[in-house]
Amino acid sequence: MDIIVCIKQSYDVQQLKFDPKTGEPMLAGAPRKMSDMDRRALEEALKIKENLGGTVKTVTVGPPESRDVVKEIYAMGADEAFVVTDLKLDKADPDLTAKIIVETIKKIRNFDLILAGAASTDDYSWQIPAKVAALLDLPFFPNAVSMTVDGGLVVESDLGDAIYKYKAPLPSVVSVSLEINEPRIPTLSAILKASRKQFMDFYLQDLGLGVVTELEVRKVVMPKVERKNVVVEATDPSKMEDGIKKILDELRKENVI
Amino acid sequence: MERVLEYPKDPVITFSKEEELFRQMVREFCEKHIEPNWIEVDKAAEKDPMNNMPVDLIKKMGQQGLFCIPCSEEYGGQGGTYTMATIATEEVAYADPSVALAVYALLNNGWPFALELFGNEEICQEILPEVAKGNAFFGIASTEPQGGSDVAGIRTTATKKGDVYVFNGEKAYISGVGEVQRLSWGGGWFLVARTGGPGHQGLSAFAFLARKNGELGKGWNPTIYEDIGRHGLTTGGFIMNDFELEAKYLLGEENKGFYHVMEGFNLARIVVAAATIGAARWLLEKAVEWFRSRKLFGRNISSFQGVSFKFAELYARWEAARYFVYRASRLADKVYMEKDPSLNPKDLNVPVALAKNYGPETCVDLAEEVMKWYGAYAFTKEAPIFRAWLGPFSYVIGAEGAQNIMRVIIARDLIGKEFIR
Repeated sequence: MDIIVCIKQSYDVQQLKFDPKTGEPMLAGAPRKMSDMDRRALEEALKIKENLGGTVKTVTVGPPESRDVVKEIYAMGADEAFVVTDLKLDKADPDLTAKIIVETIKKIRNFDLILAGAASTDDYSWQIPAKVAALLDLPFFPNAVSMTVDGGLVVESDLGDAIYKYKAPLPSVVSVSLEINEPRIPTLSAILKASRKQFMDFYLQDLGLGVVTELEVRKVVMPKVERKNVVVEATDPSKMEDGIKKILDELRKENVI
Repeated sequence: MERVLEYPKDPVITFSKEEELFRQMVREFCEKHIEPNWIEVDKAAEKDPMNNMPVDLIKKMGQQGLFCIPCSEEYGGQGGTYTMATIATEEVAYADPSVALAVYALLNNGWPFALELFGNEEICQEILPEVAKGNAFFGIASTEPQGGSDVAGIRTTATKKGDVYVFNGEKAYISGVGEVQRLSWGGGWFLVARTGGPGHQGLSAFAFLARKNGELGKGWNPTIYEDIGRHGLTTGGFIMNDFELEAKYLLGEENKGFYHVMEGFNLARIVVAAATIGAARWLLEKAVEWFRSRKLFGRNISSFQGVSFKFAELYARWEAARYFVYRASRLADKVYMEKDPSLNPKDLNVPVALAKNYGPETCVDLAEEVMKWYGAYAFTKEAPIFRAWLGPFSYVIGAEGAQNIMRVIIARDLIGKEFIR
């Protein structure tokens, strides 16, 4: 089976520092890594290839630093990486990103399945895989928590209210969630071999695209979790039962039990 | 996992993109497999080192390619640089600051590499792939009951009889005596024994396999010691009574073993120091976490300059130790990987001694201070700090060279041999 995986080089959010005054993330020089869900999409593709044979090719769109993700892509075991870069693509809007991915996929031509992370670790727009499917006029199965391909593609999608099981046609676009697998950690020897492999390096002009529509970021704020600080007093041992009941009521109100 | 302290941005000691990615991958492995388990490993092995050694974890580390990093791929190694072995050791020690797993890793990087430098192809093919996979241990057996620093005074004899060497004598304070017995294939040590006359010119080095293919050699009688720290790796001794080893296991030239083992020590000392800077980084983070939460007299304890100044001083020592470690590993890369004609193995002596001297002492001094900052809590076994004190302490006492031997090396090379006698 020939699989294409969409992979973003996103910021390593665990290592991001925030400006204490504005709460804005300090992105200049911030470390980057392969987006977590995309990494799982690649893992899923590699597992399918190991079972059924075929190829795994990847498409990455982003600023020039995105080329760095190719080492990890190859170290994990992909066959060929396609990268489209432009200085302005750091802030590309999801429509444009999807369009660039689709134009690159058209250059690759042959595929049976397209996989992508459901959302990227930094922007979390959740839009790209669906837009790619729409532009290619292919069926789309979002947020997969499980996939099997033996005897036809079956996808289990977590749609929030329940897990839906779909028999999916090929080709399709499937976006995967964090739960779908534990991605492999490449060994040093795989990293070293990967560094010697060439990749397909495109600029927007190569795809017949020129104008970058940038996403306007109005404000980024750190999430604040306000604690409720509910205090239940039960100093008299005979009132302990009441106190416990109050605690349980509070927990039920918050839907945690 | 969120890091309390950012890894230094350093334009002097720089890493390639491959090395950065490798560090990231080792961290990820450690977060998954080592960080959640190291305390339990240390506790269990403290009770019963032979039966509770982390064999499964060693196997996983082997599968991840954390052993034989600088060894050739044709021998099952990773084909990496010595700096990559140093990075891996630092990260494993950060994840297990008792340094047991880091010591396992460093021994099985440094000494297999020394084996490849001096061993013939046949024995490299036989031993190294098993070490790389985590099926065999390969460390160093130099120390004897009468002492370790006086390598030239080694008493164990290896007498050549036909096509075998016959060993008699005793080795003491040797890492891996249990692992050699428990791992599926076995293993042994880069062992130094006397094949000629007295002094350092009568010594030879061997790839001494106490157990191979799961079978113990005859005339090898081991003992396991009860250590005070880093319990996840066993220490012990063994007596050799007419133990026979085929002549092919001789490393390098007969009676040149002293020089060969000194090169091996230089390589191993770099990763020893790397283990201690990894554990020290964990200790620095534990200190910062504590400073941000612990209040005394209505203030954070780090608002007292008696505390924060000491922290700043120890942090400076850590950065210096880190510099010594990576400078030494880069020099090792130049000598052994790049074969830089302007350098030779002796050029490693002072840089390596600086790293081995400074890293362990910084780590142990830091551990003591962190325990004082934690107060009485640090004296309980609930707080894991003491485990990061007792483990690295093994490298202040000795192991790969005592601290004063490092000072001797520095003084001897800088002042001149004849002026320090």
